[in-house]
Amino acid sequence: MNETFQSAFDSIDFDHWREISLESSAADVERALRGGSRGLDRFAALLSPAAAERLEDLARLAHHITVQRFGRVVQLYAPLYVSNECVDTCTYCGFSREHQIERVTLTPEQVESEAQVLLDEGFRHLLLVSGEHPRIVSTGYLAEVVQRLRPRFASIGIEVAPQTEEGYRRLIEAGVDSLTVYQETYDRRLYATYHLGGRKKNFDWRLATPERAARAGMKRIGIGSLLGLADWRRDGLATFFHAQWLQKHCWRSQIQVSVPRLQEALQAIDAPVRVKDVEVVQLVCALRICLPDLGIVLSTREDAAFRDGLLPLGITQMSAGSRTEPGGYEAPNTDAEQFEVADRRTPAEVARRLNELGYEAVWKDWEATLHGAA
Amino acid sequence: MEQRDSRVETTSTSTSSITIHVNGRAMTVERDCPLPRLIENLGLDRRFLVVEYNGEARRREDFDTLVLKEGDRLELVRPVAGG
Amino acid sequence: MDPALRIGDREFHSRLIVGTGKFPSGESMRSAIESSGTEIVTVALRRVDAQAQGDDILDFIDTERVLLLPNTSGAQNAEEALRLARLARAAGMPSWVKLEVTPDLRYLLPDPVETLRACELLVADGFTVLPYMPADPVLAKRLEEAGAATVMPLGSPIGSNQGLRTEASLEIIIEQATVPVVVDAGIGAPSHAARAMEMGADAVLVNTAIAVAGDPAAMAAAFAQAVRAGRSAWEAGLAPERREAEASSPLTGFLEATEG
Repeated sequence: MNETFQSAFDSIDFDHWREISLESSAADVERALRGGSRGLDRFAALLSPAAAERLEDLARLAHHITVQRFGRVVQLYAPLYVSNECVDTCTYCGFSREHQIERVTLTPEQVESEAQVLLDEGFRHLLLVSGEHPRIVSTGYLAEVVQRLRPRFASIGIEVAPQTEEGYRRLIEAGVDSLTVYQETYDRRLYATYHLGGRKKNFDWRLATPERAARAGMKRIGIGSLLGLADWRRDGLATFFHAQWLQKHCWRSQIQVSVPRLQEALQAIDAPVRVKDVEVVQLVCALRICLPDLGIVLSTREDAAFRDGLLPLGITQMSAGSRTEPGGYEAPNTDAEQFEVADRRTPAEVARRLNELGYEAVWKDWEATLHGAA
Repeated sequence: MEQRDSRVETTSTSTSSITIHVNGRAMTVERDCPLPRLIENLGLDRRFLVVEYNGEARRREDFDTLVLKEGDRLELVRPVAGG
Repeated sequence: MDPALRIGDREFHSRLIVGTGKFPSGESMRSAIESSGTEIVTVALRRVDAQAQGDDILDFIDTERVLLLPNTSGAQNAEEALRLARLARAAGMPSWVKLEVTPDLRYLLPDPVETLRACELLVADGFTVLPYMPADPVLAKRLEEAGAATVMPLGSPIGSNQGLRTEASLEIIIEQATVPVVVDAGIGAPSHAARAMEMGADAVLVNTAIAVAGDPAAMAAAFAQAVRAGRSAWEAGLAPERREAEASSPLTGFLEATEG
């Protein structure tokens, strides 16, 4: 039975579900909190304006479930940008092809020295990030970089151009165990207005990426939408539906969701739809309540105070001390950032703050050797 | 139950009879005896009856064309009560 | 109206599957099947016995109205299960099979390894496979991947009438399943069946509890009502026990500080 996500996705009218959410009653919210509804019904009620009235109740339930399932533990990771080369034209991204910035691709040796800075700060979980450039940032290049880093990191994730199943098999063989791929927005019409050129124009190819990675054996798969590109409820509903489908069909992989909010990209484009803090909080709570085992990842796009507040509501992983330009750990250059980092705390400061909030910062979770790694 | 056809039960060793196994029991029958006649003689004609002939399941439509030969092994099987 | 139960390429309106074993007589089985409203009955396959006394059960089953679902009881391994299934198909029954590999004759517990192997062989041979299985969530997903049309986890051992001793596992199986979940074996009372349906099971399979009842037909009717009641409760949004949220300091206070 090899149903694809796209066939399930195309059968759902998310505009309609957004309407249902907007029209949810207090009784719908009460039933959703008690677990009397399921799936999109429940999620729509928890994203509703009616539920926003009871945000504290949502938060308490989300907190309770999180502590029950994950304890008071947060996994720390660091993004490492290996290249800002890109063939795609995306209106919201600092790396978009038409931007006149210095294009840098780190050699494997440079990646290792960047990684050393992160190792010295205690990181054992790494997320390799790059623009999409089949020739310069090829699967082979990525495999070689991963191969070099693998012995010293417990977990290596990638947030790069979508690969084929075979490509993911090669990267997993080299040592990759997690993938992050945001659909950006699940609204096809708006997606087309943001992605004007390059391979990223292909909505369906990107949508099926998590399934290809799962078939190749990827351990952890992270999805999400860039809040602000479209209506946050509509994209929140679609992200939930995608995560739930993946949990059921790709049950060998651990599924995660991130809720990145559009900040100022390099060229100050103002976010088409400004998503408020309370809305991000509501989305995180709804995700935690409806998908208790879901990993929820918090990036450094948010400022320190907001991140500390979101923590107890369901966060299981967060980045710290991030630089979003290639070579940025050794030679910071804020002009070349993919996006502006709002939380400028050092990893150590983040870890200290976590302890103050009663949380344990976990730097190294997976034991690489446990999974047949080198 | 009418008296069973004696030829089926003969113990004579004339070349006109052959030995086969039915549901695990040895039995001698007339050479070239067609399967439907054996079933009829054994009074086993039931709905949903099926024969496993030398290890291979045979549908009822195939019964008529099936002629028994020396050493054949038959399992006559049908649905019974079960959970 | 309850959307129909879809298994393989067929749809059913009854979510109660009835086994035909252990009935005192053909007539009592017939009336129980009728009052249960079932559309699927299971049967076993055995060697024909000319001297067999007692009723021929097929004279008491309206095979126009109910689907005869042959099981592979008696099979000790995958090959024997395939052999029995092929015999059932050759006998003119639909190429559906309740896969049952139970080498443990004391408790009739299903062998997970042979069940998975048999499922692969049967699906490859064109069968619609409904595997009776231990209530193991990982095995359920493996059977789904092998092409099973449903998964049929046990509530408790066959004929034990102990009800849902595997509730925690059933809950996970139901939550993760992408095929219908039929709770089969051990359901001893209508309340057990209702409980399974309240949890979100798609159907239940009951045999012993009906067949050995004082009045099998009346018991079958009771089970039919219990299955419908449980299903309606689930659809009406039955909430699991209230998981008390811990009282703790306001969690969203930080929003006042930010732009809210």
